[in-house]
Amino acid sequence: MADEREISIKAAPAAVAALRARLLKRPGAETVSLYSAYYDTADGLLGANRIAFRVRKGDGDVYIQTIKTAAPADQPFKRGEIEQPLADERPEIGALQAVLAPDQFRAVEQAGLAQRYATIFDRTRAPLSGLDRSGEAFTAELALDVGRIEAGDRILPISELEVELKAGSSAALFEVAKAWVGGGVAGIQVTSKGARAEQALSGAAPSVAYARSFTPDPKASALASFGQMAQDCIDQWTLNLPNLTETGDVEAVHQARVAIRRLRSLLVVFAPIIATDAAAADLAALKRAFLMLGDIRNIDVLAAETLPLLMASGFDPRDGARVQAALARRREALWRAAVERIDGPGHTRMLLGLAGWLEGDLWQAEAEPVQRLWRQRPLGPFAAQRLDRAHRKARKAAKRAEAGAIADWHNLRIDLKKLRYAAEFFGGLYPADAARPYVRALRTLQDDLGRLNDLEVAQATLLASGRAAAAPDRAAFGRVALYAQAYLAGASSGATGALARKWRAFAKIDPFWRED
Amino acid sequence: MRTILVINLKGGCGKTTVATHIAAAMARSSAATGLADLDRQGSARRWLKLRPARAEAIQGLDWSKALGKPPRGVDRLILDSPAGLRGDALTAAVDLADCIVAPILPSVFDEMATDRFLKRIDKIKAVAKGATPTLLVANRYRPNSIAGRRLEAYIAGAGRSLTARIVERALYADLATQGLTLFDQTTASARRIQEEWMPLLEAVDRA
Repeated sequence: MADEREISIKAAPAAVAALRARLLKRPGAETVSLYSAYYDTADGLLGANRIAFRVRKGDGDVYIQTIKTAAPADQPFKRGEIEQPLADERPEIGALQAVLAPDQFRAVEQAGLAQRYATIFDRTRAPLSGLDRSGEAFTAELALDVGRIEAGDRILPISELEVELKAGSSAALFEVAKAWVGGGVAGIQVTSKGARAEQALSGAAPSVAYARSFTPDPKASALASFGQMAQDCIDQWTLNLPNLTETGDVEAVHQARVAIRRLRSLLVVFAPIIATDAAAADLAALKRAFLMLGDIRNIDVLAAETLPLLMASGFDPRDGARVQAALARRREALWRAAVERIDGPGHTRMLLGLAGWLEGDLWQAEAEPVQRLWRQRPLGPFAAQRLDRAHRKARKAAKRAEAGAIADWHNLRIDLKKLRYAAEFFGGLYPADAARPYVRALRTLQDDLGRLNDLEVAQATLLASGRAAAAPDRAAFGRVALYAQAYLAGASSGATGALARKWRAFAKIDPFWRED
Repeated sequence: MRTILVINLKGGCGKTTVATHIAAAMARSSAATGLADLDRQGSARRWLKLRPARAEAIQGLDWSKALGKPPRGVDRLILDSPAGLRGDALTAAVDLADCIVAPILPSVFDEMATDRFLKRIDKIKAVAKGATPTLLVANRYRPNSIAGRRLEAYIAGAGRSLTARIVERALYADLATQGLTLFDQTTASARRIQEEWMPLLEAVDRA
């Protein structure tokens, strides 16, 4: 089975004609009309195994059957594929034996396959070859697909540029894709045509992608481990794009930010042995995306947690309802602006740039020569060192907080967040029962500090939202902000004592990475 | 912990330069590093005293009177040995080491002395059994020189190989007077010269 390496980028309908003309100028380019029927059993056995089964009719009544296995959940750009020619449009079900366990295949054979949905589109394709940034040769195919998906009674448009790598390094795939962004081509199309059809049939929203619980391979080198962990963070971000851009679900916004925060924390943890110069501009753009989503997240937390808390404590519910409605409108506006940015050329190039930076190992190539020693050193010693450093930094911050002001507790919160991510990145190297008490106590302490921070952020969000609100709503925002300020002062005055006690309880737990 | 013994019975072949460079490279690569001075002359100890606070930390150990206890919390321990280490002291140092690094100068006198030295340590059990590799480093090497070519021929003739070739440069002496090494420099030209050391560093890291 071949690994298919491809990226699809959305193409604005207004850009299609010019893009098609540009492709057709390339040697070997052609336009073909493709009709594909997708099959499954009545109860979706293939879909449940994340297999797409397709019979495609191309020009000249040529039928090709393709079985695509799912991209692993953590690698959205890689799928397995088996192709075979058919004599006619009838699917050859026996081919599924290559991808299904015997009992699964028997179940499919018994149930029988029926057409589930179809894709009808024109494909303008052109071969492309060249040298990637490192001088390695590659060949690829560009394909502009324009048409529709017919799924039940739903019709979904197709308008995307697909870049498929035929030979060469994976880094070349991202370089080529990035070069074609612009002129109406922007926005990663993460969801395959088949997955979009299934979503339309089921009525389900795109799923939310969570951080995988990562178990580092103790035999893998530190640098190889960084590559895998960073890829996981970028994949989590990428896999949240469909929900983020189509529905803007609260949890998708939250998890997209978690993905970016994880990546940025990972870069700090591995800073001594990697180099980020080549990705500096893209990482700065990623930070801006993080802040942009942060404005939406702050409203989500304010609306779902802080405002109800204030209203439960006695704030005027009429003002509360007015502010909630205004926040919902502001959230909608911020989300729409975010979608425009995310599906825009700048963000698309940034994402492809970062993915290419990781694939091409540029973060190794640019580092000092001695850092290459980490290609052969295992992760364990490095992990212990970095965990120790983060733990000691948090201890120092806690000492300042116990003697200082509420702002010092916020600084501790930030240090604890970094410690927590390091513990989550590396915790899998140690026995679960050793790491669990530490990580659990760390999370509890972090949650308490987070609640205090939410109140402070709520104030700032209320003030910013009030300034942006329509005139009739501003007075209500002002009253809520004043109430929140008083509430916060009350919450803070009692909080530091409890936080200090929780910190001391956490500090008594043995760091799980230290040898006795 | 990995222990690297830098040794050659011949004096003046650059043992302390090689030892301090391995130590600084290891420290720069985020390994907790110790440098033990086995030499009563104390060159490595004096170098450590000159080392500025901004440079990567290296824990110094005075083992000039006797081998000490390997310290806790150190990932890489480099032993800088005196010229003429012999007998039980030589055996004890070799037994402690995970690998041996022998600097050689491209001169006929150094080649003869190194020959005698290698024959001596080849008899020590850990080396004879292949448990402790011996890595040869050409120091103050000049590419395409008569001396350089003769050294290459001698090494090949002895059935051995050079792990690294460190080109002769004035900067080594200059940096040593400040308690520094090439690995404390981050300029592009320093990085290029650091590449000469990488085959040795990768080999000692793997041993």
